[in-house]
Amino acid sequence: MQLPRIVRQLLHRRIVMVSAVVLLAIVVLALGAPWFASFDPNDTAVLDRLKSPSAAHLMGTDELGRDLYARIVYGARYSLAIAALTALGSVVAGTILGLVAGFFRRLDTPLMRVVDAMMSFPDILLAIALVAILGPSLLNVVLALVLVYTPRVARVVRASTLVVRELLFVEAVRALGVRTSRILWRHILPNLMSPILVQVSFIFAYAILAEAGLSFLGVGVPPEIPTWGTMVAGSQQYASQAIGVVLFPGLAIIVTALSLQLLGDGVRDLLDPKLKKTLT
Amino acid sequence: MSELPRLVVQGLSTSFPTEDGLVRSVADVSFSIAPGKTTALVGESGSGKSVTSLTLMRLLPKTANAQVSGKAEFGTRDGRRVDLLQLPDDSIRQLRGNELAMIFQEPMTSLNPVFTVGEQIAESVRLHKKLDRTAALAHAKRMLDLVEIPAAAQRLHEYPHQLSGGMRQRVMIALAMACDPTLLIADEPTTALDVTIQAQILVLMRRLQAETGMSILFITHNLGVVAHHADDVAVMYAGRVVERAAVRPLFATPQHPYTQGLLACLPGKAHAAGLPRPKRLFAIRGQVSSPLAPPPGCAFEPRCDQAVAACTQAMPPLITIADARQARCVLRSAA
Repeated sequence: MQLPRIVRQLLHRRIVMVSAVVLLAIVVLALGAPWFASFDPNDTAVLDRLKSPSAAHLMGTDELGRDLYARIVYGARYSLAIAALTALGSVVAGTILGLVAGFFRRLDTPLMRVVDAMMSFPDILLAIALVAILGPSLLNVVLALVLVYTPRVARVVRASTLVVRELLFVEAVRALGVRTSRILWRHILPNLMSPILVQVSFIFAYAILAEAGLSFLGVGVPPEIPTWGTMVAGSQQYASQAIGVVLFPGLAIIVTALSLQLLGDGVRDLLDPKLKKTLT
Repeated sequence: MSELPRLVVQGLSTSFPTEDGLVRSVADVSFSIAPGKTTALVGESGSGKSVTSLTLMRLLPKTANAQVSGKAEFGTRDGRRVDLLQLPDDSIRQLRGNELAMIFQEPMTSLNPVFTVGEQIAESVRLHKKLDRTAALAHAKRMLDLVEIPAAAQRLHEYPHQLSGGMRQRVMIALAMACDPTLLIADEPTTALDVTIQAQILVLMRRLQAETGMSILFITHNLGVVAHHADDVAVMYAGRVVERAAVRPLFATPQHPYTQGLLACLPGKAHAAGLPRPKRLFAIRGQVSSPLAPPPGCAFEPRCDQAVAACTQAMPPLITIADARQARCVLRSAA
């Protein structure tokens, strides 16, 4: 089996391991939020506003006296869910687009010109425009980000499809009487898994940043939902009184995005045999 | 039915429109293959051998816009005669891998790297014989045994990259043979293998042919292989058949100057002909003419040492010299 070998190699690389452990911890925190946080993220306590970190409030409180640690742990749920849905959505859509464009040459030009057009917009601007049109909600943010990242995946998948479709085994399975749709999904798609996996990890990281950016600009998730982005956005004017209100959510964003990027790098390096030698 | 050839190809032509004009890759090719026999298609690179096989399998890419004409009458298992070139896409797909199988030149890349060998053989069986997964895998194991892969039960679960080139070609043969085809098209199956492995693969193919009675269309540029493994030979040059004969007469008395030249290129042959061993090997001078600007007459005329004035006039027809012997040369018509 190929997978265990890759997993084993991943275990040998410290940076990848550390990132994976950090990510795992964040996911566990997010999933088990009620057990890890003793406060409700939306409970206000005006008397305890803008407190420094203490035994009761690990990361202090924000301008409404809400426990920052609880908000970050609960916010992880939203931030990660948005990022995960974005990664999933754009990978599915991008893979279908890229495969079809790469395999059926007649569809290549029309599909890829649309993709080019979408890619010519600055990412965040396109997302802002889309959310502005659709209205701010969790689902619309995901939708906007999926639309932003789909073209990237489509590009990568198309390029890889163009390579794989010319390999002799495609002709060989055709000579066995396998129908085109099956060739596409059963034979070509599995050969594209490594570039697709790498894209997933990067888009996951980008999406966390993009969601934070959109929320910060006020066109993301509605402010009452605690995501790391809305937390920074809502509390930024109080940063001079208690730096924790922007520091901790900011750190959460950085640590998560960085871990994802490093993990993605590690996976990419291991899946690309040409790079392997220089890295081990 | 046993009297009828399994495949009769008549006047097969395949042309590709290119920006510089129409390229006739295969022109007016005719040959036939009897049940249980091997017909070899011999020629140098670019002579149209592979295009012929891909045309017969209907595997030319649609985007190439190939223009195909001619007939390829194939005798199916249930006794029908069908024209491979006219069959609807669905019907040809059901024949492929089932009654018509093909093995390719490059065993290194003709297997899907992400599936085990067993899964790939099983896929074809499940597709055409409608077996379930377990039965198909069991059949795959029998196929690996058949092609003499040691420790077949273990190899079944290995990936192509874990196998050597010779082993992979055996797997390709197992894959092609999985549904017991009646016609196997082997497109230079041993070219990428070293000589000892090549011999093993050829012996294996011959054994399988004897056991199953399948016909083989053997495409090669290796005359040594042809001499040992073919029953009938069609020599191709620049997309046309220049000589057709049974294997013995072809090697004994080649009629076309191109065939003569090819045989003279063989070191063993030049020596065995009773001549003193030549200091240098014979080489056919010149190069194949461009398919975009074919010479007006015989395609081989610019390279032919025996060319006469008539050669430049028009493409000579295939002239029947004796029973089942034809050559495309004006010198033979004069004789």
